[in-house]
Amino acid sequence: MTNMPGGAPSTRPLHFIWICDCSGSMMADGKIHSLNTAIQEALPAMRQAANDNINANVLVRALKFSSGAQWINKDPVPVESFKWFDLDAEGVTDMGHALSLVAEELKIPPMPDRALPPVLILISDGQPTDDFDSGLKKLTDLPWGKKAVKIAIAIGSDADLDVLQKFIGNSELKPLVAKNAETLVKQIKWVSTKILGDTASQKIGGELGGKGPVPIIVPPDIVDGVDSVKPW
Amino acid sequence: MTLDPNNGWIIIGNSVEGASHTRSGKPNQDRIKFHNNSSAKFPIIVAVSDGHGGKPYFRSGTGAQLAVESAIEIGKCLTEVSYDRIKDKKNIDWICRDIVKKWLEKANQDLLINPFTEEEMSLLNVKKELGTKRPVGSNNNDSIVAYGTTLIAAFILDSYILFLQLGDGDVMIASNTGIISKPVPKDSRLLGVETTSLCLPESWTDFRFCNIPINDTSFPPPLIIISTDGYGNSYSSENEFEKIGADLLEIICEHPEGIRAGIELIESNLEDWLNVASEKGSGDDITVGIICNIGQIELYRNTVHFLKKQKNLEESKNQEPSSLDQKTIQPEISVHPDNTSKESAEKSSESSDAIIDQL
Repeated sequence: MTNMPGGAPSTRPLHFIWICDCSGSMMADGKIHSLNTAIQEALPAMRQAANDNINANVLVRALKFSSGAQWINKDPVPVESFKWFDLDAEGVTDMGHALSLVAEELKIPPMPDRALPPVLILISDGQPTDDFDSGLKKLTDLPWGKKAVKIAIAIGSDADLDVLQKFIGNSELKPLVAKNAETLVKQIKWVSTKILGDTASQKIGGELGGKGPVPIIVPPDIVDGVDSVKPW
Repeated sequence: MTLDPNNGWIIIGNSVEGASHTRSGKPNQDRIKFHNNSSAKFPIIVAVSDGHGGKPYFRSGTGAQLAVESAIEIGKCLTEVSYDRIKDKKNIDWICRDIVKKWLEKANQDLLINPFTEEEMSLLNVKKELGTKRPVGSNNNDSIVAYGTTLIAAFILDSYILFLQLGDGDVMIASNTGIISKPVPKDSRLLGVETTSLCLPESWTDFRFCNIPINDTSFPPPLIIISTDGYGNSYSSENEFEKIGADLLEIICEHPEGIRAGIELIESNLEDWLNVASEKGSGDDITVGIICNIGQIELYRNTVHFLKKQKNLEESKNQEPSSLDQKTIQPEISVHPDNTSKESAEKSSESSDAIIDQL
């Protein structure tokens, strides 16, 4: 075969971003510990989901917010080499700041226009203490911010579900509510495998004739979670 | 290969099943069709289409075939349309409407002959939107989404080249100075896995277009490459993708047995190249049409290509840079007259009535 024309072919990037609440309330009842454990435990299955979709290049980042917000790793890391570093919790809930930081990274550039829709997972146990709407607007004003697959997980019963619903931006998809540590593990695993895989294989992430996003079907066991003797 | 020695145009092309389609057992839903009537010379027409892959689009391969056929049937009438008339956006509007109308007629005919089964009906999942329109006289039937597809067509006449594009994919041209460009305006709504589609209401308004005049001072490009999005999505950047145009031109010019042998070499390798691109890249079906103008390739080879070779020789001898004066043909580019906001390529997604997922 004569040398191929063009540059080297490459798979399409799929940016997967964990956006984690590390406010002081996450210390209560070991919530931050449960979050760390859940994401750690989900990583092997997440890598497998990525391997099952070899024409997507899954790149992972994590961002934490409390009093302010900061990237844990600002540069995207291939899922096979992504490592989770346990988060600590203290301070308030600057969720708006976190979304502003995500928005900066979803601009084109640094994001390419030839990519799969990014997946944003927002996990929180409380209410924003900063200008959430401004942060969300910065995100949703962007083409990739609009097209992103957005999932929210509420930890415990104090999370602001209205705010998380605004983040999702689709009334047919509700925030997942983790009533206990076991449910959080299941939900984290579901988003890092099923949602990742469906986005990579282009089953979700588009709109049907401008009539709203393609529905994301959440299985009942993920919505209802696991009964536990130790609810949050 | 379609070869017409009278007017010096050669068309080659290929379509391969996507690597991910092969793994999942899905067929190739892309199509390509040429029209090159040697007795009449013009128009030369190449059309490619990409049928959507999601479950509701279960007849998109047929839809893609009907799309390329419609483009060619309507395009044949362009012999009666001069460059002065094609510059009038109202005429572009009519061409787009006629293509959509022809496609709908064909799709509805197919539906009459092959009605949906109950299982197919359950896949449609279509909400009928009030106030939506289709071309006059066509069946206003929203189940037509089953045939959803994109369309790109290049129409070459003696006094102009017209490109029409609905949905994703790419039109790339190499000028006779070796400059690679993408003449059709971008549609900023097409991001990720979304595209506009022939199956959506008022889809003619979503066509983007570009005219290139052909006269004593404006020459046709040596190479025109039209492709479905599986090709472009197999490259990490526009630069990496656009390098294809420059490399193809070099392969043709460098062939020791001449230009036609260079084009034959490309044709014989094209299927393998596209398979590798899909396997290592997007995983999607890939379809490419390459339109070569022998006279302009000769001109390029004897001028810019020759000077480049000379320059490389000099640099290798002296390590001294030299300059090449390159001029770019400026095509007249525009968008559908009903949708002039696309000219900025910044169209807001609030008006994304005609966006469709291509799952």
